[in-house]
Order: sequence, then structure tokens, then C-alpha cells
Amino acid sequence: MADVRRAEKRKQEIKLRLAQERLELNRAEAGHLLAMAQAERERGDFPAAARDAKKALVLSPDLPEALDLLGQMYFEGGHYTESLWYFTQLRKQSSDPAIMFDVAQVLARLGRKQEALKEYQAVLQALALLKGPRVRGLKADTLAAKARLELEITVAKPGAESPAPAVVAATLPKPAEKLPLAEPEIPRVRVEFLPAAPPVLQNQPTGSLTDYFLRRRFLELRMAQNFEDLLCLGSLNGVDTYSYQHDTVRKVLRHFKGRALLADEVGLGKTIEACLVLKEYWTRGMVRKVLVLTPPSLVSQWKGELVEKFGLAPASPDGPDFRAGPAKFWTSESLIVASLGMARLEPHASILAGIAWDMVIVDEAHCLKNRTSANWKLINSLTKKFILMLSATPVENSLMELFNLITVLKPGLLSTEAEFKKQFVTAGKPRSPKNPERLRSLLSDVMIRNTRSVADVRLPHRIASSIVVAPSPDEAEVYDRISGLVSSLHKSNTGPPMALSSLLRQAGSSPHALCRSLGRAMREETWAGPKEKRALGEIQDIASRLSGSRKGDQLGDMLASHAGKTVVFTEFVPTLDHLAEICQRRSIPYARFSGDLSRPEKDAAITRFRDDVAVLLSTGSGGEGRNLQFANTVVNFDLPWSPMRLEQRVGRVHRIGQTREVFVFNFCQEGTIEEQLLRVLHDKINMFELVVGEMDAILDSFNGNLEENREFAGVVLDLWASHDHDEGRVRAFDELGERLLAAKAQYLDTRKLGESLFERDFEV
Amino acid sequence: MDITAWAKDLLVSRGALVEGQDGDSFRALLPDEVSQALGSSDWLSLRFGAVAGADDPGEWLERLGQLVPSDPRIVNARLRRMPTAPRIDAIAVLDRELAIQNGIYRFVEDYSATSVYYLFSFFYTVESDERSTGVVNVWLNPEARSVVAQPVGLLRLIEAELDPTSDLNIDSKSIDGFYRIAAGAARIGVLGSITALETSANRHMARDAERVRSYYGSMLQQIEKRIAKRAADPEAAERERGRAHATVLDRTAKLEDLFRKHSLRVQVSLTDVLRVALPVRKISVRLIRKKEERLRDFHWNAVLRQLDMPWCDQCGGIARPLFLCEAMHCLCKTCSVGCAKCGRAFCRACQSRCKCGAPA
Repeated sequence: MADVRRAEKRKQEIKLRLAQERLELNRAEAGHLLAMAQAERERGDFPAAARDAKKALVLSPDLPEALDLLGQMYFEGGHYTESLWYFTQLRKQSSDPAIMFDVAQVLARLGRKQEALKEYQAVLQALALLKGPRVRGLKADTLAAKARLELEITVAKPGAESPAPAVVAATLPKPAEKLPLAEPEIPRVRVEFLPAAPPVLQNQPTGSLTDYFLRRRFLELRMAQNFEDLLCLGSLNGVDTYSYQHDTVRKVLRHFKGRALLADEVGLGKTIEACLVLKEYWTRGMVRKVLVLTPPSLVSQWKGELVEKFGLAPASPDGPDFRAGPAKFWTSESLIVASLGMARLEPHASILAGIAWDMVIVDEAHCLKNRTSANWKLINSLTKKFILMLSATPVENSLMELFNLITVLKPGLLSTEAEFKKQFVTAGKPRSPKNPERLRSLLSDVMIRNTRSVADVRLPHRIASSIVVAPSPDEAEVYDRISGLVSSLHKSNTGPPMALSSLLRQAGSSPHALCRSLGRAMREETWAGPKEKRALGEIQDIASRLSGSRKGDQLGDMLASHAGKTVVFTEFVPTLDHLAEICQRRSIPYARFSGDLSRPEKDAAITRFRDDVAVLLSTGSGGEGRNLQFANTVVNFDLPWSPMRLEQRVGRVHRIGQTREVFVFNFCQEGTIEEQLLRVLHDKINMFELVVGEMDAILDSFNGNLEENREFAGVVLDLWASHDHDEGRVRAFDELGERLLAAKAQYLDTRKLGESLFERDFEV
Repeated sequence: MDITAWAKDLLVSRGALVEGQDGDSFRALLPDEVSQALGSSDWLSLRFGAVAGADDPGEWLERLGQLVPSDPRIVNARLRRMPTAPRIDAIAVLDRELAIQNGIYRFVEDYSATSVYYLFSFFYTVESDERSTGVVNVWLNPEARSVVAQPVGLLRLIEAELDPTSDLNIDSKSIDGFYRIAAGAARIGVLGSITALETSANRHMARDAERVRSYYGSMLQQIEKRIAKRAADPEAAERERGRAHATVLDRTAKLEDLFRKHSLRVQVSLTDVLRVALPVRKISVRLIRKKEERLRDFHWNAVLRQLDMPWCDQCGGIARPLFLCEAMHCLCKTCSVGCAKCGRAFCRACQSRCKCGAPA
């Protein structure tokens, strides 16, 4: 009996010790998370900071620093209810007057004024027992806040009994009691019809019919000249345009006469604005020779947008026409979209300089910031009637960058380089303007910079989570083998990177996608020798034995239990078929959307998804040009290696018009390249919760120069293939994460500079 | 929207000899008075379009525009071939297109006829922090006391068929009354056309007001802090309160300035009146409301193949659905709603004020 009791006691002790150890561990981890959250907050990355602070609270629910951090952040963000909850939790733990003061402030903001007043009173009572400079400061703040609140209460309820102390009440003069301290309502503008004298019509001679129509046409022409109505709007196809964009276009056409720097914040649609200006000029017959210069990675996107949305037919220098005769191509085509990197090369640069362009558009125009660069020289050498430059970050390191941009746009506007430096650049502080008001006044002749607040684009939050699925032994073997084969071929430069990365991406997607492409790869003669074909055959044998996938099963579980409208994206049609099978097996109704459907079939799929079913299974093509705001969950069943493609997918759901929080679930298989990618994109730079367009800007900073921008997938493959072991790969991807993090910090810094430099003076 | 074609037509109408070279250019031999008005030589050569050395279309539009008469005129026209309005199922047309909210109608008869229409064209200018202009058209059919719902569409349909005429027998004294109705309808049209401008002005107003509020808000906060600090010194606190009061007044004045700046001031002026007879099917009905009854003609426009809508006797807008008052005035919904003060229903065409004294 005693033995049993001893054993029981021992068991209890071990349990207690383990629990204590776990607690210690949790505390240590929570401390680490909190430190990360604080660093993220300092960097201005509030969503990441909130996420990590909440994680810390899960591990250590009473962690005061985390409660305080969250309370402060929500308070600063204007989410007072959430802020109050965190401060109240903190208040339960401590009677620190500073915390009580925070609670009182939040209560006041929430309109719970009497409670706030009591809390201020409690703060003052607590402070009465303390001494020190901090106490004095807090006391002064409390007194001021309390007096303000009492005044507000007095003004709001003149007849009501005031809880204000006698001294305040006594000193309030009568007019002061009526001070409208509450912020006044902003009235809506008035439309006022000015009185007009009635015309004299009686007994007047009649006019001629010819003159009547000539006069009508004259008025129509005059209005067209003034760009009163945007003629192009009627001919757009599937473009959501917004009033700030119309205003921007009108301003460019009417005030800037077609020469402007469009510097809207990221995600507000600079490309759409530029295309609208181009289309308006085109519709009016004012331009017939147009050159659009973009980074290489955006050429096809620009072409696609111009064709599909704006009904224009651009040419780009990648077809046989160009190869047959570049000079003829440049001179004969009326609308050309080309990469700046290519256009600046000889002989193209000289040919382009010899052509009279009606309009030139330069996307990502910050590549013109250096006056000695070939980019700047090319654009400066072009003969152009209208020019649009697009950049969300016209200044990065020095005001001289802005000078160089504007000088291409309107030479002489900012005077000479020496004069500009003398007038506007603070010595030793190249980013700080000496005479900001004058500079802004000059820039207002050429620049538009809409911000999210003017555009009223306030999108709800995105909440992303990664679902890393442990593979079955066969799945793991298939992936390991294909990964090994791809790595060795890539290292020995035997296989084309496109084909190799495609194999690896398909392996990461599903065994079904891989199986189909393995068959094709085995017929490949150029790079697959007998040894490789044998290896591919063995992999195909194992892959074809797999009937399902762990990832698919997990998705099935999720879809079966998830109630909202969900879009599941995959890059590959065989994976789409596999997902359709899973849905059928589990009796989950779904709509299927892929690039091979005809337009009416696509429309029908979207309609079915909107009206009847909760799940849309879609290939990447569903990510382009379709608005799916009525859904609020995105599942990335596989991950394209291009962050921009991921962004496009999420962007179908998380866009203007979305009113609910958007959930993003990223599926990946353990031990795959996608797991590493997700670790970098989600955990390191919090990509899925960034504002639309910010990822683009970060990648731009990351690449340093535009030519490398398209190589992100290549960078990923290089990193993966150059290491044979997990540790090395993790380290390499960590380094990639650090570089991206540095790029993000650089972007945030540039954004902050833009905000402080331009404020909101360039909005339409 | 082709300035070249317009310029050619204008110059030809003023007696010039014009020879076209290609689509965007032409040469003209001008009469003396035209060359003097334009400040050019006898030979005028113009070239528009996106080509090197092209003439500035904006400049030439204004110069040539001087040749166009600027005062409003009444222009008479007729259809080259006047068709007879076809037979229609008048009862079905009324069922489909006429909606009377607080009365009923009884079909009497229908027959083919012609009716004289007036197209009033108004030019409007909207001034806010920027200037915008536009044209609003109102087609009236005074005989049927109705307006055409698709003014631009009707003109497009008959434009090529119009010939000048002088044989329209019109009571010219009534034209002022028609103008009053058309001006009312034009206001409603302008309001519809400037919605985007109004949205934009409201956006600008909100943005600028937010700046003002934030600026004065922070000033007031500082003053309040000082008041709290000087709570023990009533005189100093009083001075601060005076400053706060002045600041609030200043803020109010600034906001009022903004309101004035962004408010839209609209000037509407008549440009021309086109008078033309069109084939119609006259449909006579008896309108009945309570014990009141009135015979009234509705016209089915044979060109547009739709019923002209009765105008609102108060505002001139389209009365669809149609509300009848005790005196059988036809009103639109806006003009028939109850008094804003006491809620009592009253006809704004009969009375300028409600019985409670509130203005219409």
C-alpha cells in the first residue's frame, strides 16, 4: 500500500515538474515572440506584431508586456473595443496608474465618459501616493484629459448634473460652456443653380437648320477638347474604374496636357490610370504612335491588359516580325510594349530616338532616377508629345532622383541641377528638402499621388495560415527522388531550368500532376539521357501507385467543415481533376474553372459558384480578370514560385468591394521547396497580410535592378538545387528571407519618405 | 467628333470654297467677311490630327466658333417624308407604360395625327474648385403636356430626315411657358449629369475638412492642456478659454470657406430650340381620381415607338409614376410627397406653401 502511495506521489511530482518545465519553455518562447513583436512594431509592421504578440499570449496568457503591446497597438489603430479588452486584462493584474490611465483613455474614446471619469479619478488617487518625474508627467496628463472630458460632458449636457469638480465648473465662463468642442460634421456640398435671365424668344426671327447643327457640333467639339467626358469609358472591357482614377485621368489630360508623373501609392491602379489616358487619346485620334516601356517581367502583363481590357492591339519585340527586321518593327508598329532593358540597347536605342512618338509610358519609372544611366539617357533622347511616368516611389535615396525624373518629364521645371541643389536640398541630408512648400508647388504641375485615404480604399484584413502536411512514405519518396534528380541535372547544367522547375513544382502540387509530366519528360530527347529516363520511369512507377494525397485529404476535411465561399487554386489541371475527385467522393458541391473552358463556360462556372455552391476549384487562369469578392477564403493548394502570381490569386478575393476579413490557407507538403518558400514569404515577410501591391515593391527593392525581377523562381530553384541536405537548404532560405526582409525595410523606409515629402498635397 | 468635317461644313455654309486634301486636312478660299472674322488671309489651309506640324484644334475651334451664332434661336424643321403613325394596341401601351399611383384611367379612343415637338438645348457650366461644362436636351410635346424620355435618341433618329420649313403654325406667346417647363426639366437633367462631379466634390470636401479639423483639433487639445495646467489661476484659464473660443470660430469659418469652395454653382443657359412636327398616335383617356375626372390625351411617338411621359406640372420633370392631386395636376413623386414639417400631403403645383406654413 505504501509503495502504491509512493509511486502515486512520485507520478504527481514528475507531472508537476513536467508542467513547470513546459511553463518555463512556454514563457521563454513567449518572451522570444514578444521581442519579435516589439521589433516588428518598431518597423511599422503592425499585422505581424499583432500576430506574434497574440501567439505569445497563447503560450503565456498573462504576459503583461504582450497585453500592453496589443492594447497600445489597437488603441493607435482606432480599435478601441479590442484595446480596452487587453488593457482591462492588464488592469486586473496590476494597479499601475499608467495602466489605469490607458484604460480611462480608451473608455473616453469609446464614449463611456462617466466610467472614464471615474478611472481618471482613480489614477489621481493612486498617483497621490507616489512621487517622481514620471508621476508628475502622468498627473499633468491625467488632469488635462479629465478636464477635457468634464468640459465635453458639460457641453454635451448643459442641464445635466456635472460630475466635474467645483474648481473646473466654477471657472467655466458661460460662452465657454457652449464651445462646440466636439468635431463638427462635414456637410455634403451644395448644388446651387444660379439664376439665369429667361431668353427673349417671342417674336424673334427663326434660325437656320444648318446653323443649328453646326452649333450643336461646335459645343460637342468644345466639350471634347476640354475632356469633359471620358470617351473611352464606354469601350472598356471588365475594368473596375473608380472616381479618383477618372479625376486623375482628367487632370492629366486637362491640366498636365499629357505629361505627368503618376505616383499613387501601391495598389491604387497606376497602370489602369495610364491605360485610361492612353485609350482616351487613342479614341480621340490624338495619338497613333505609342511606346510603353516596362520592366521585362511586366511586358506580357501590360500587353494582356491593353488587349483584354482596353481593346488595343499592342506589339512587342518578341515575335518573328521583330527578329526579321527590328528597324521596320519599331517604325511600323503603332503601339509597342517593350522592356526598357532591351530598348536601351543598340541599335534599338538609336532607332527609337529617331522616331517621333506621340506618347511614351514608362512603368516603374524610378529606374530613371540616375541621370547617367542608359535608361535615363534613352527616355531623355526620345521625341515625345505626351509622356507618363509611373512610380510609387519617385524618391528613394536622394531628392536628386526626383530632379532627374522631373527633368525628363518637364525639362527646366526644377531649373538646373546646381540651382535645384542650392534651392531645395539640405546640405548633408539628401532626402530632406530645404524649401518643401516651394518644391511641392513646383511638383504640383506634373505629379499626382493618390493615397489610400483619398481613394477610400480601406480593405479588410487578410489572415493567412500555413498548413504543412506530413506526406505518406511513398509521397515523400517520390518527392525526394525527383528533387534529387532535378538538383543534379540543374547543378550539372544539363536540363533546361524551366522544365526542371516545372517538374519540381508539379511534384509539390500532387503526384497526379507529376505523373502526367513525367510521361512527357521521358519522351524528351534533348536533356533526358537513358540514365535520367530510367530514374524518371522509377519515379513514375511509385507516383502512379498513389491513389490519393495527404494534402488532398486534409483539404477535403477542411472543405467539408468550412462554411464560407472558398476558392481553391492550383497551377495544374491534373491536380484540379484530383481535387474534383475528392469533392465528389465527399459529396462537396463545387464549380470548376480552368483555362480550357470557353468564355460562356467560364461565366457559368463563376455564376454557379456565386449562386449555388461554396467551392470553386480553379487553375491559375481563374486568378486573372475575375472578381470573386463574394468569397472570402482562398486556398492555395500549391504555391507558384512567383509571389506576384500568389498576390494575383489572393487579389481576386481581396479587392475593392470586399467587406469581410479574407482568410488565406496555404497548403504544402513537409520537406518540399514550397515549405521553405512559405516559411520565407509568410513567416519572414508576412506576404499574405501585406497591402495589395506592396509585394511588388518589395521584390523590386530585393532585386536591386529590374532585369532580375523575373528570376525569383530561378533564385528559388538555385537555392534548393545547390544544397543536398535540409540544413543547408533551411540556411539558404533563411538568408533569402533576410534579404527580403531587408528589402521590405527599405521599401517601408522609402514609403515613409514619400509620405513625409509629399504628404497629401498631390491627390486629385 | 471630327473637327475637320465640322470646319469644312461651317466654312461652306459661310460661302467659302473648300477642297479636301485628305481626311485631316483641307484648303479653303474664304469670303472677305469670313477671313476678316478669322483674322486670316483669303486662303486658309488647315491640318488636324496626330501628325507633325498639325494645327492646334483647340485654338481653331475657338476661332471658327466665332462664325457660329451665339444667341438662342428657334429653328423650324420638318421631316422630309412624314409617315403616318401606325395602328397600335393602345390599351396594351397604356397598361405597359402609364403608371398612375393614386388614380385610374379609362381608355376612350386613339387615332393618328401629328404633334409639334420642341427640343430645348441647354448649355450648363458647373463651377467648383474646377470648371466643367455640358449640354442637356429636353424634348417637349406641349400639346400632350409631356416630355420625351430619350431626348438624344430621338434627335439621332430624325437628324438625317430634317428639312428646314417655315410653315409651322405656332402660338409664339406660349413659348415662354414651354421654356419654363423645359428649364425645370433641364435642372433635373443637369443634376443627373453631374453626379460624378458631386461625388468628387464631396470627396475633396471631406479630405480638406479633415485637414482643417485635424489642425484645429490639435490646437484645441493644446489649449485644453493649458487650461488644465492653469486650473489654479482662473484668469489665465479664462484667457485660454477665450483662445479656444476664437479657435473654434476660426475653424467654423474655415469649414464654411471650404463648403463654399467645393459647392457646385451651376449656370444653365438656353442655346437653341428646334421645333419639328412628328407623327404620333393620340390616345384619349379619362383620368379619374376620387370624384374628379378629366379627359386627357397621351401621345404615342411613332419615331421612338413609345409613349411620351406627362411632365410634372410643378418641376417639369418626368412624372413617372404619375401622381394626381385633387385639382388633377400631374405630379412626379418628389413633388407629391408630404410636407417636410408636418407630413401633410399637398400639391406643390396648387400651393407654394403647406398649410402649416412650410415652403414647398
